[in-house]
Amino acid sequence: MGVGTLCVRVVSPCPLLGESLTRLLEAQSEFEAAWDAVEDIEREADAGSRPDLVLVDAGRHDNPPDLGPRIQRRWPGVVMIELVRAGARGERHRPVQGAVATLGGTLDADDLAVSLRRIHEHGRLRPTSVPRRRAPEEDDPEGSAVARLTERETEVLRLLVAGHPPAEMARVLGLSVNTLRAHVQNLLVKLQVHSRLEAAALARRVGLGGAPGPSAAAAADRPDGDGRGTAATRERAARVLVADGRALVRTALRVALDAEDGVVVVAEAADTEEAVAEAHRVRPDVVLLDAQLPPGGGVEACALIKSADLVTRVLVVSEHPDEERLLAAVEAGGDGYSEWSGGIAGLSADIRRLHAGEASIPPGMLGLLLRRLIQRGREADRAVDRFSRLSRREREILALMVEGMDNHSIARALVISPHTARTHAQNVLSKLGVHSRVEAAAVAVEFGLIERFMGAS
Amino acid sequence: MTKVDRFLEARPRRAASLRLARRGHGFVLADEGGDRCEMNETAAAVWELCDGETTVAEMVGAVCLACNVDRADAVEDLRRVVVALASEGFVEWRVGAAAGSDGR
Repeated sequence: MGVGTLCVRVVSPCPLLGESLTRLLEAQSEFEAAWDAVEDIEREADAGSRPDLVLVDAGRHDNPPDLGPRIQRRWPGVVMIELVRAGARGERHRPVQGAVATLGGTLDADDLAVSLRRIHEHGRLRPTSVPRRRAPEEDDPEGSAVARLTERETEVLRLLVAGHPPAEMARVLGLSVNTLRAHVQNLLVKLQVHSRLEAAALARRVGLGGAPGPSAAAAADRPDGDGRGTAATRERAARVLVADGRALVRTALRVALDAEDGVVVVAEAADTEEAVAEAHRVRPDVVLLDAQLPPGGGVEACALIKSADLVTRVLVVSEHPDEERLLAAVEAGGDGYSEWSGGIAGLSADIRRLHAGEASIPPGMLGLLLRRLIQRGREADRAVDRFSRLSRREREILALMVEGMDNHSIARALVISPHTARTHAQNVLSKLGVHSRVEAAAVAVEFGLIERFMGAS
Repeated sequence: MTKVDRFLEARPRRAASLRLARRGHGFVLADEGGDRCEMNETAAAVWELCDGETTVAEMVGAVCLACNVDRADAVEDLRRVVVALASEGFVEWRVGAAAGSDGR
């Protein structure tokens, strides 16, 4: 305790990640943070102070190989830490030369704060020192610590739990920002924690601030609660479920989006299964799906959510422009597609657009998307036309091909000779204009031919 | 055949003398004489689809999917855009026939 503010520079080519990580760090009183795009590192004469630490987004294949030396030229001797994605030790991880520590994708916000502090204190991260978790103690020290807070500090803590940014907290409580900061410092000391996030986590553990889970959800749901903005504003706010496989990114997005007008994060999910379950549980207005959401990607999750009986809009977010994924997201029923390059402002605008009933297509991609959809429609028409030439028996054969049966299995299933089955199969391939049974099955599945026509003669 | 049906079967074709260029956040249609028309992205996308082969019905289907709008709204939006383009001579109508064949 009693340590000074750490100045952290986040280096990432991705505005959304850079901005959200910066906001996450700034939400904790012990950090001052700023974001630099990779190309900005050497460009500007340093307008700000020299950082204590540089946190580098190393989970990028497009990072330059000399990123570490470039950072060292800009801030000689600075301590560099690389941040990688979960399981990103493969091709996406380009090690940052000279980095003293690697922080993994499963890291959460509390771990990050502790890790950065310890790296700064010790010059490197010692594995035995993290992740730091408060050990269970006798009695109820956390509850006792909360009980020592003044009434005002308790109010501040409740708002911290709700995830409000400092300016909003000050406004809600009718305090100046400086007075609010003093209250926050006092409660951090009394709770014996290092950061606001740690304080909020402790508060949740002792039951302060309502039901467990992101309390911004509770704030959004309370018609007259202590949430930010007026009741009318909150009613209009888009309630968002954030689904991303990286704990730190989820938290960073929650902090950053909650500070945006008209958006409130009500739940988080780490994978597809959890995203579908949370979508059913909290019924968000908008589901934000990372395109890389494990295990099968955001488009797969989108299809599952849209096939459920839910009135929710789905936004797939990708780090890079990807025409194929955009097309797949639209075909999966997605209502919008956003790119990390748009930053927090772009993302929140897309969320509000979806919440207002509009679609969201990245600038410059609408024409391409329309052309691809028309092309796909023509391919589907051709496939349907060809399928309509199949006899009833040939359609049965195709259905069994889709199930993976060979000629002998098909013959047994339809009580015909293998020779007859093979003849029918050859006719199917010929009429569909394909060269293999695999291709025939793929066409049938891709355009839903079996479901669409079986039963029709 | 109703007016709407005829519209949906039309295959508008953009004027060969015009080219589309990006300008700031929007687009402009220009010919040798200079800029002729400023456009937003949606109108520019529709103009590019006017190749004399694509039917308005195909455009409607794609807009419904991409922009998540009702078919009736998409038909009305496209009617407004295509009629405006045609009235300026930026596209010509090809009803019920692909490029290269006679219109009806």
